[in-house]
Amino acid sequence: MRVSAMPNVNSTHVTKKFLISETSRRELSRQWYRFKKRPIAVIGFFIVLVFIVIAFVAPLIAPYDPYVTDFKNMLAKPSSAHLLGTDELGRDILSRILYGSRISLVIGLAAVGIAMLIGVPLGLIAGYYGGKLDNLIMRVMDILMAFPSILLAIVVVSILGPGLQNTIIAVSVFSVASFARLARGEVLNIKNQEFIEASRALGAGDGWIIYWHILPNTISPLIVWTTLNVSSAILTAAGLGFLGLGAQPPLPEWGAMLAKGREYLLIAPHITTFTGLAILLLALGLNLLGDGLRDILDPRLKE
Amino acid sequence: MKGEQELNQPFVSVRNLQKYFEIKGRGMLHAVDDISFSIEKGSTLGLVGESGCGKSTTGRVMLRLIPPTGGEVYFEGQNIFAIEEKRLKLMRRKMQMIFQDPYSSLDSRKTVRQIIAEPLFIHKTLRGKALTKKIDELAEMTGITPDIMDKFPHELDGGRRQRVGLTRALALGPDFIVCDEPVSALDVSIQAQIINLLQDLQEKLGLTYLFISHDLSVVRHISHKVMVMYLGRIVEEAETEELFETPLHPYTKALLSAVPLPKVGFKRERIILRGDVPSPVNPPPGCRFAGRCWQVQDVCREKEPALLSINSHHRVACHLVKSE
Amino acid sequence: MNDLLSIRGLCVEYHVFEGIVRAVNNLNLGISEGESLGLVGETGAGKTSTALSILKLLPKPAGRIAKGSVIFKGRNLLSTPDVELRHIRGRQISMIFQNPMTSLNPVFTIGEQIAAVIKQHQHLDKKMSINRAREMLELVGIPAFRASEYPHQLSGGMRQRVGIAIALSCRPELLIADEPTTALDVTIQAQVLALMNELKEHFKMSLIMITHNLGVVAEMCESVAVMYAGDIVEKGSVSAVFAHPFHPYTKGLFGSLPDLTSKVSRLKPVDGIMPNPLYLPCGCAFHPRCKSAMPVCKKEKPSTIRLSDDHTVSCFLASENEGGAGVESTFCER
Repeated sequence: MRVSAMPNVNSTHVTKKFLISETSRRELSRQWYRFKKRPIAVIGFFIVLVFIVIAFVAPLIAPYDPYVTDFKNMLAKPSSAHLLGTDELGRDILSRILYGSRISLVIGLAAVGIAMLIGVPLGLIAGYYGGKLDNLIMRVMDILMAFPSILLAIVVVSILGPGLQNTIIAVSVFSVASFARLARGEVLNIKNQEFIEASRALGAGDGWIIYWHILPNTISPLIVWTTLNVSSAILTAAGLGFLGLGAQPPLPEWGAMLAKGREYLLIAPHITTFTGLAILLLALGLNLLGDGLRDILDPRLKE
Repeated sequence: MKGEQELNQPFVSVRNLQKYFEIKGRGMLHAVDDISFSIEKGSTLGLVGESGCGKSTTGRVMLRLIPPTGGEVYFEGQNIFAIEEKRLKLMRRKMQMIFQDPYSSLDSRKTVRQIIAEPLFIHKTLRGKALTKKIDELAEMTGITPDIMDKFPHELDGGRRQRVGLTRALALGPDFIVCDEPVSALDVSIQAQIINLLQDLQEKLGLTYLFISHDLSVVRHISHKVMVMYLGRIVEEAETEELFETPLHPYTKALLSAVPLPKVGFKRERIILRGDVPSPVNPPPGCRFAGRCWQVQDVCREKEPALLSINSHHRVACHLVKSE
Repeated sequence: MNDLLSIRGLCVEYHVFEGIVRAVNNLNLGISEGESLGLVGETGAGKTSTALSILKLLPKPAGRIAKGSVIFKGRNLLSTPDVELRHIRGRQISMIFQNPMTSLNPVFTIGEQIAAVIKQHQHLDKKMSINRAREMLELVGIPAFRASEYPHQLSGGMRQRVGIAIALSCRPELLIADEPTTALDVTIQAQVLALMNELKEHFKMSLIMITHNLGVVAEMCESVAVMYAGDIVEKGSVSAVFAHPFHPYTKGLFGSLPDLTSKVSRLKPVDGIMPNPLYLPCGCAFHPRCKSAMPVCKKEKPSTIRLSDDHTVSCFLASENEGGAGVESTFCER
C-alpha cells in the first residue's frame, strides 16, 4: 500500500489517531462547553438552526403552495386562514417566507462556498509567497473591495443577466476578496513565527507548512468569517432581489417580495413587515453565531 | 587553507561566513561579517555575545534557514550552501535546531505528540506501530511523561515546552544541533534540569552542539570551546578554561567582569564599559570595539585587527595582543 | 527594630475563572532605613504581587489583598485611601519595572515624563520641573540635551536609566525595583546596577530588589529573602544565607547555578516544577519536591525558626531540634 504524501489520507491506524484523536474529542467538548456558556452564541445558533430546518421541511409545514394564487383573497390581512396574510396575488405570505428561506440560504451558502474555494487559496498564496504575486493578487482584491458590495453585484448581474444562478455568482464576487484578505492576513500572522522556522529546519517544504501549520491555524477565523459572510451574502441577495435583479418571480425570494410589498405599503404593510422580519432574523442569527464562534474557536484562549 | 584541515576534517567547518541585511534608507547591516571556525565531533562550541553581535544569525545561516551572503559551511565534508534542495532536505536530518522561545517555537494548535511526530511525517520515515514506538522512545529519552503527550503547548510550562522542542529536534537522529539560547527564557532550576539533559544526551548520543547564549556561566559549564562575538566579528576564541581564566581581548575581559556573581566577598577587577552597544549598520573602519575600549590606540581606529592564533587553541583579534 | 516598611501576614489572591490563585500566602517581611533587600524567587513565587501590594497597585478586579498589613512609617498603607496614597507613590515609595520599553509613554519626551512626576509631587511650575528633570538625567548619566528625545530613540539601557530618573526624581525613601535589568545586556546591566548602587548611597534610600538572579542580589543587597509559592522560606543577611543556605529549596537554587569562576561537574537542581498556585499542596508548599520531606511537612506549614542573629528559615528540618510546632495549613484541597 503506497503511503501518500498527506498523512491524513494514509489509512494506517496510528495516523488516523492524529486526526480524530482523544485530544480532538477533548477539544471539541471543551469548545462545546464554552459555547454553552455564551447565551448570545446559543441564541444565534438556534435561530440559524430553525431557519435551516424550515428550509428543509418547508413543503411539509407550509400551509399553502407558495405559487398558488387566489384572486378573491388579495392583500388580505393576517387571519386564522392566512397567519401572515396574503400578497397582491393572493398567495400566502407565510408559505412564501418559508419557501423563501430555501432560496436565501442556498444563495448565501453557495455564494460563500464558491468565494471560499477561490478566495482562500488566493489569499494563502499571496500571503505565503509575498512579493510581486502578493501585490498583483491583492491589488485585484482591493479593486473588488473598493466597490460597495451591492454595486458590484449589480454590475455582475447586468453582465450576466438576472436569475438565481447569476445572483449566486454576483454575490460571491465580493466575498472572494474578503476571504482572500482574511487568509492572507492569517498567513502573514503565522509566517514569521518561530515554529514555522522550526518546521523548515526539520526539512519541511512550502506545501507541508501550508497544509500542516497554516491551514489549521486559519480554520477557526475562517469559520467565523464564513458565518458572517453568509449573513451579508443573504442581505446582498435580498438587495438584488429588491431591485428586481435577483431570482425572478414567481420565485418567493425575500428581496423581491419586499420590493413588491413596498408598492402596497400603506394599505398592506404586512407583506413588507413580515418579509423584512424574516431577513432581519436570519441575518441576526448568523451574526450572533459568528460573534460567538469567534470567541470560542481558539485553543489558546483561556477563560 | 590550513594543512591540518585536509588531514583532520573537523565535523563542522565554517569559512568566511557572511550575512548582510539591507536596511532601507540606512545602509547595510553587517550581522555576520566574515567569520571562520570549526567544531569537533561530539563537542560543544559556546558562542557568546550581546545583542547585535550576530550569534543568532550565525546559527540560522549555518543551517541555511536564512540564505547566506557569502562563505561556506562544511558539514561532514560537504558545503551545504552548494547542494540542491533534495540533498539539502536529507542533510537537514543530521543538523537541527532548538529555539529560545518555548512559546513561539511550538505550534499552539498541535499536541505534543503531533509536534514530535512532525519531522517523521515530513521525511516519511516511519508509520504505524513503529512510529508510535519511536515517539514514545524519544519522549522517554527527554523526560516527557506520557500524561502530557496529548496536551497542547499552552498547557505546559516553559521547561516542558523546551523538552518538547528538543525531542522534536532529536526525532530524526541528528548529529549536530544548534542551540539558540535554549535556556535563557527559563527559571533557574528548570534551566539546570535542561542543561543536565543536554549534557546527558550529548554523552549518550554523541551529539555536537553549537551553544549560543549570552549567559556566560551557562556557557562555561557546558562548552568545551568558547567563541566571543562582537558586532558580527569573532573577537576571541579559546578552550573554555583558557578563555575564562586568561581572557585576552578587552571585550572578553569586560564581559566577564560584568557578570554579577552569586558569591559574597569575591574579589575581582570590575570593568564597567561606557556607552551603549553600537549598531551593526554601516560599521566604521578599524576595530569595532574601539569606541568602548579603555585601552584603545590610534591603530585600533584605523585598521581592523585580524583574528590571529596565540597558541593552538586560542585566537584573538586585537592589536594589543601579540601573537607568538 | 526600626522598620521603615513592615509587611505582616500579607495574603494576595487573584480571582480567575478556574478558581482562586493564591499568589502570596501569609508573608512577613521588614526593611529598615537604608537597607537593601533582595527578594528572590522564580516565576510564580509571588514577588511581583508582593511589590505591587505595597503600593496597592494590583490589577483590578482580579487581584485582591485578602489579608494583612503594610506599615510604612507607622501607617498601614492598605487601609489608606487612594487619595492619600497618591502622595506616597512616586514620592516616598517609588517603583521601577522590568521592561523599559513599555513602562515609558511613547508619545512624551523623556524630559516631559520626568518633569511630570516632579510637578505632581513637588508642585513646581513647568520651567522649574523641566530643569529638575534635566538634573535628574545628568544624575543617571544621560546628557541633559537629550531631554527632548522620545523613548524609542533611546536604547534599552538608557530607557531603564530614564525609569530610574523618574523613580528617584522626588527622592523617595524606598525604591522597589522589579527585575530592572533582566531585559538588558550583561555589560549594560553592569552599568545600570553600578548606577543604582551609587544613587542608593547618594540618596540614602532603602531598596527592595526583586530578581531571580542571585548574582544581582550579591551585588546590590545586604539582606535577602527567598520566596517560594507565595511565602518566604529563608531570610537573612546575604553573607549568612549565601554562605550557609539551609532550606532545601534555597540549596536547590544555589545548586542550579553554573559557576562563572570554575568548572562544576554537574548541576544539582531541584526536581519538578513550582506548584500550580490554584492548587497549592497542603502543609509545606515545597514538600512534594523535597528530598528531605518528613510526615509533618505534608500536614502542617512550618513556622519561622531563627538559625542565628541574621538568618531565619521556615522549615521543619530546623525545628527538629527545637520541637517547634507548625502552623495548620489554611487551605487544603485534598
